[in-house]
Amino acid sequence: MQRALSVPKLEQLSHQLRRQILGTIYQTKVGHLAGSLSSLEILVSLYFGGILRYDPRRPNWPERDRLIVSAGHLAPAIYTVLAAAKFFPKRQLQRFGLLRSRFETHTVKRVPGIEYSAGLLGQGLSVAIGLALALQNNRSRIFCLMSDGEQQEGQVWEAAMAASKYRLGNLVGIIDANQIQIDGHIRDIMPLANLKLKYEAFGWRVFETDGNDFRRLVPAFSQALESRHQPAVIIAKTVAAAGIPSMENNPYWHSHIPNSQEYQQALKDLRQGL
Amino acid sequence: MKGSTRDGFGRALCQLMAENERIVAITADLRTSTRIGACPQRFPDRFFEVGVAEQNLAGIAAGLALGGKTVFATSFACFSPAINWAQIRQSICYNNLNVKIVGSHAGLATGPDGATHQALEDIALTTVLPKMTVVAPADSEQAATLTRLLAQKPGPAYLRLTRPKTLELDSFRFNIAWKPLRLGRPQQLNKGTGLTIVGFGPILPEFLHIMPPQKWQRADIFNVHTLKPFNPAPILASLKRHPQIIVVEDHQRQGGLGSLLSQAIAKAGLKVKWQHLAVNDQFGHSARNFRALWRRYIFANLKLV
Repeated sequence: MQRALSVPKLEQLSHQLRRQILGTIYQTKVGHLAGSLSSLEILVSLYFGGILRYDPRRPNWPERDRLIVSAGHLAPAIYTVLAAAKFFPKRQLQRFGLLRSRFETHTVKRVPGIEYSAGLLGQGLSVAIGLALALQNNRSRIFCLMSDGEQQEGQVWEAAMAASKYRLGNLVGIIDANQIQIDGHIRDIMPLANLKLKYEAFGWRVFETDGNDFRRLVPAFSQALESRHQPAVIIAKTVAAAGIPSMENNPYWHSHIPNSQEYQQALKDLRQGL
Repeated sequence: MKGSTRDGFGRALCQLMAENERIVAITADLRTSTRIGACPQRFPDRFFEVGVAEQNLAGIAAGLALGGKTVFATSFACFSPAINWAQIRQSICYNNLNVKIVGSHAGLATGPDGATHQALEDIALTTVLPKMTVVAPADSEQAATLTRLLAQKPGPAYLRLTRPKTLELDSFRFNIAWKPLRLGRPQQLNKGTGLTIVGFGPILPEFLHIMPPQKWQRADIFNVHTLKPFNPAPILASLKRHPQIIVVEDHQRQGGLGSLLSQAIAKAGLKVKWQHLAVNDQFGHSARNFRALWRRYIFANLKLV
């Protein structure tokens, strides 16, 4: 497990990784940009903020914490973070999404550090619950990263009921609430109403926080991990395509690949920092 | 002796859970109907109940398997693998996890619950999934044996079970001694000349029961208890000796044993006289007596020369 980095170091790291994610997607012409950038601080907090217990030399270490990435399209972000955490060399991501590369465009278990192969939304929370039940007598904590659009899937609420019934204090859900989905803004496509009240009504402890700010995010994780008998969820309010003002909050960038001009503009934006 | 395939499964699973601590059971409000009602008392830490939520059933089962368990997830075939097919496809098969989907009340055999509850598509839905093993026992004894064999084989599987008490295979006087059951090997029940009879599930013994004995006693009879991996070799060898076949199944005509076998026959370049007794692209109906449903929807098409 890595030592927790200071907030300035975390910010510096996520700035570097943001550039790498943008480069990978631009060069390979596959992948989902907006979510990968909005969820980046969540992933960096987990792996470098002293939250997740892991060992890149032993990706199958039985006592490790498990991160189930339910929103499999966040692959460019999680792969980039795993490379930074030394699960595999960074240069391997040059072949992201390409035929005969092990890096599927949606997260896949054959990549060291990935626990579960995903892609279809709404399925990961149930899997995380099964893991939390199987590992109840183990030190491991189970984290499940979802998107906010994903909350529209009915299975998520079947799972929310079950986590509460089984009093899963070893489970922490995280919602990357970036307010967009493929066809537009969530408020227009299918509003989620009050997610905080919904999860509370389902028996969860809920923590709302700014999901791109390490100063708020890292403490939210620590608080979420305090309960022994109740699942917790962090609603991380993020910005779609965070860090690139020319792309931020625009549903177009959920799955579009920047052309050369847009890429150059994005790099310029990035240089100015978050 | 008579029993149901769900009885055989429930009996075997309880024994297996007593022998092996890694085996867990999970259900979606159908513990009694899937014959694992004794599990919560006997194994409280290894029994999970998700309520009427089959997508979550498949997902939690996947997570339990990811945590090292051998998972039996029970429901009715019309719910699981039907409502939760995408969860079985991704969370279980794509992730290659050790989950056995147990779908009871398959086929017209379900009887009184009627068309909505008579799963006639489950073999099609499951055989099409990579990594999947698909098994359908013909009687209660065989259900127990196949449950045991599935527990020993890591990876995703579908076990098709049925509701009513039906004829056991050993109530017939077959003319050969059977080899021990092995997953993936059709079980030859009888040797003959002139006709091949092929089927799976309890409809096979029940079909033999309504046939004139002199007809089936002179037939090669195969019980295809494993539909995936499907091994047609012994059936093709039989057809080379006498190219006449009756395929019987309590399933839609498309996507079941008839489909699998006709591909194999075409590939082998055989010309055979073919009769396929199956449900003909229609929904079932409620009835007090499931045998009446079989007569009307399946056996009615039988032509004996």
